[in-house]
Amino acid sequence: MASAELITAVVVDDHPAIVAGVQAWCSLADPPIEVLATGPTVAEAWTEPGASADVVVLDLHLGNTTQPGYGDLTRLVDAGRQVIVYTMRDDAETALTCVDIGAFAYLTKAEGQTHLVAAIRAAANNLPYTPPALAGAIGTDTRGNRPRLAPREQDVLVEWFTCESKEMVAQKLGLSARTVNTYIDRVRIKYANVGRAAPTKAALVARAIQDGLVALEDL
Amino acid sequence: MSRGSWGGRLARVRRAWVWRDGGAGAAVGRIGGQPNPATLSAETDTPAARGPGWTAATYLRGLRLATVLITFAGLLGLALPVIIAHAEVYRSLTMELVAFGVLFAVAVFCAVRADPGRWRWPLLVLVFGSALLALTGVPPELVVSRAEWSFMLLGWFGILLLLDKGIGALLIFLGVHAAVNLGQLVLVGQANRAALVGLLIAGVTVFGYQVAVGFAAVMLHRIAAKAAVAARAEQQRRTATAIAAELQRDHQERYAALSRTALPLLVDLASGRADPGDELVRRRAAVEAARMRRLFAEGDEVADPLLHELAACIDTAQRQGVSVQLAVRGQRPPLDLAVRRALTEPALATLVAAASTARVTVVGSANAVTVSVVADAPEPPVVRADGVEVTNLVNADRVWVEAKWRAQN
Repeated sequence: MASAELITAVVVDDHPAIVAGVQAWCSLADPPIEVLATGPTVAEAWTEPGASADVVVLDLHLGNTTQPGYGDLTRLVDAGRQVIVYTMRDDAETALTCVDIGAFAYLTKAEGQTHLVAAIRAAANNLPYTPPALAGAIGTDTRGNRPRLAPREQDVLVEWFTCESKEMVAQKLGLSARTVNTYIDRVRIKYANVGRAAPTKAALVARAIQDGLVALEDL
Repeated sequence: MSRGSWGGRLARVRRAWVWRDGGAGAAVGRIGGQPNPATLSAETDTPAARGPGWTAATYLRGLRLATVLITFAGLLGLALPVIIAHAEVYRSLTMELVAFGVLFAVAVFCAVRADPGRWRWPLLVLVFGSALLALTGVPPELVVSRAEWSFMLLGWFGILLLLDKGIGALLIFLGVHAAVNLGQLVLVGQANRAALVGLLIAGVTVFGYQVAVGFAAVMLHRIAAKAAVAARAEQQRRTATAIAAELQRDHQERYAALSRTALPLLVDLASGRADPGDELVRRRAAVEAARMRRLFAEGDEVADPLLHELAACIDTAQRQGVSVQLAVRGQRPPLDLAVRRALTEPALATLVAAASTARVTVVGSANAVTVSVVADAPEPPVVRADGVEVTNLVNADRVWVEAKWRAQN
């Protein structure tokens, strides 16, 4: 799954317009991302050609269910698949639950155009990616089992959620854009390092250590 | 009037009290919550509110205590000496002593518990049973005599057990009691004229007292009930007055809020000083429209007033064709109206100035709340708002306006 290779994805969503939109973004990306299969059920991700896709783009509410599909997500993650949850739902609890299960990223559909392609690319390379909706959920997380964040890290996440522009966050907090990125990524790694063990989380942490984003003793 | 609507109104009044407290100036960050206990207790616990109902209830308690004392005096001062004096005469002394013991126990029970509750009917059965026991233990020729001690005492038990059931219940009790004694007189073949007259005289004398006490109790009951109704009506009236006063104050406050900014604009438009074709005038008008919407939203009973009022501001922008996104994170403490206005004011000004898109976010924590707008708007004027910190940031074609409130402690 090196960055030079063609990245492939499978899109699981029961809304044809969403599927068409994602396909369009992928084909317009530079370099393009190949969508191997699309379909309304999670079976697409388990059967060929979707089974060999690098990244799974998964809608959390398939069919007429009102309950989010955490079971499907868990099975995919446990099979070592890189899953990007792509959902209408914009609430912190769902976002944090998906991250706990081992989803690579949580993206609301309002964020799709700006962030989905970049998120797929990051997922294929085991690099952390934290879109604003997820940053807002992490930045305001008050659950007992959450990882400990530095106050600065928390500020950066909340401001990133608020303005959706790393440039503006840097300007406001008097940091460089690079530092803003580092803070956001480091927090994502801290979250990957706690809670339920999943191969995707381990890969994320391993890559971050390898790249020098975090030191082993930071975790 | 339904309970719900009263509850809602009371909640409103309470909230209004909290506003007043908060408005006193000690702390802008005062968080809503419990009303001032002094204010509330002054409203609900005045002597006037307890008034006549309370007095009647006190007399009723006194009457009951007197009846209990009479019963004990009768049992110990009259019945017991009679039983001892006639110990040799009774057909069975045991029956008399058992009857006395049971009645004594019932009297003790009534002395301890003012309301017999579910024991009322079992106790009545016990009382009549004891009377029957005492009656049948007396030799036939002494049925109408001092030896039949239960005859004069039983009525007091009727009062104790049936005090709250009306005079009819007591009369039936006494009637049954008299009928049983009369029946026994006939059964033992002693229904001669002297005995009947004796029974009648004893009945009139003893029952007379008992019925008088029963009547007094009934009257006191009625007065207490009426007074309670009157007190309740009075309390409702005072609550209604308080609500009306608060509503009036709300209206005046709203009018004042509007007259500061909206009226000058209307005056300028009417006099021709402001040109509706001017972009700045149009924006002023849009801001006023949004403020009015927010003002109307402030009066609604909703679970999350801040989001509700913010929605009113967003609505105005959306009507102008701006696409607005709202995202909310974190738990927020409840905020006073003044703080909510201060938080939404910068957002409102930015939203109505936006050209096409805006993103509104609300982030809360235990001790801070931030309302923030990113929009493609010209740099907004610095909005002054007491108690919140407003920051503006401009980057390329987008402005970012943030209002932050922090709990003061």
